[in-house]
Amino acid sequence: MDCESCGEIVVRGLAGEAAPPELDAARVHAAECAACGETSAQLEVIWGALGSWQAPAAPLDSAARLAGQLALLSAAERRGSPGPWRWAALVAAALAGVLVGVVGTASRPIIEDREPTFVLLLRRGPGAVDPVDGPVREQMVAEYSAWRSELDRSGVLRGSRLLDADAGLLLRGRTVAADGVLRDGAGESVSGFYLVAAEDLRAAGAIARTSPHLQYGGSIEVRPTVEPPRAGGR
Amino acid sequence: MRSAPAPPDLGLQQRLRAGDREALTVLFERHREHVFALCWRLAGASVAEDLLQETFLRVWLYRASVTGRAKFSTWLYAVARNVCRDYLRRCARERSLGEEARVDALVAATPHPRGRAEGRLAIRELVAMLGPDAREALILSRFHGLSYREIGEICGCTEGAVKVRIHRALERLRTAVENKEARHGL
Repeated sequence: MDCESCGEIVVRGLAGEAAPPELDAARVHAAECAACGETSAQLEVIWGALGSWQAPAAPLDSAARLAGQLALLSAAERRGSPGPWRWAALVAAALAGVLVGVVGTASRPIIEDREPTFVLLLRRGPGAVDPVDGPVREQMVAEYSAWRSELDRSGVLRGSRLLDADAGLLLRGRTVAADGVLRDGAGESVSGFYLVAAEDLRAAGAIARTSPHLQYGGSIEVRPTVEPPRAGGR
Repeated sequence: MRSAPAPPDLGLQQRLRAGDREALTVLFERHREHVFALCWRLAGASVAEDLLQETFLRVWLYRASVTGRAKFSTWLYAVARNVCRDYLRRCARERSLGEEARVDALVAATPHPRGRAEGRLAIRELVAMLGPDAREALILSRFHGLSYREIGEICGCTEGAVKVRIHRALERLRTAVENKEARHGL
């Protein structure tokens, strides 16, 4: 065996691609040839040292993020049958967080007949980030705005509003039971809502999971809407 | 009570091809750590999660081409590899600076791999500076335990080419370390 073959077999051996007889022959050669012996030892050290380059685990929310992206893509798919190039643009745009100009830009405030729609009730409580003025507020405004644009341009948004954080009335019977914003036992109140179209509750939940609201300590309640019963109907 | 065995990838591939998003979810759970690790090593920590997402979005997009003839993980690795390549191309990471010059520059600051943790870190940095073909082949072999045949399918080359790429990659690392030893009189 020559020295070149020895080195080649040693590398294949490290990669699990060399047969035992080949390895034996290479070892015999390396034992007799000082240069090959040293080279083999160095290659084994490097192969072993590479083992310390361990990747961390994938982020825990990566599955939820993928589900959200797929929900948005499916919504866009339902609104047309884009060709391969438009599809590629959709994927790229979805990853960039902006589905600019691919599936239309207009809001669709009218619910289509029998279209399954869901209300995303954004709730805030004492644990949520307070959007005080400054860089944090600017960042939050930018992220919420980008999210809304993404929903809009992907064709799932049917309407949205933020609610006044301070003003509200609670009526019971003919009297005003409370003046101000209603808070539950945990101190949470509804801070806004989005009306979205989705295949089902799970898909709506996947869309909700893409909201920056969750990153800022808020919660989102997802509720299906139903057709109101018609008077005299069955 | 034992839980039912997970369905093999082949059945999931058929469901995926038929447009079953649940099948994609199962495949994602099954393979995401491997794909994430590949993206992490090929393209870097800061974009690995984005590239993981893009890989599976492409899997969904190209689900009609999942035939079941090839092993799903091999096809998936090929998609991930292409995603990483596209990203690196977009970012012009593969700079015009000559590969030799880049390696030499790093070697000058590389401790011996038999030494401390920073030595191992330097080896990692050296791998990142290998040419894309050699880097991909080495990473797929060393960290993902793939055979030369599988790596050839993923990278679109012959087994012989894979053998040459891995051999050259390791030789380059060995030479770099050897030169470092000589410079420091080790």
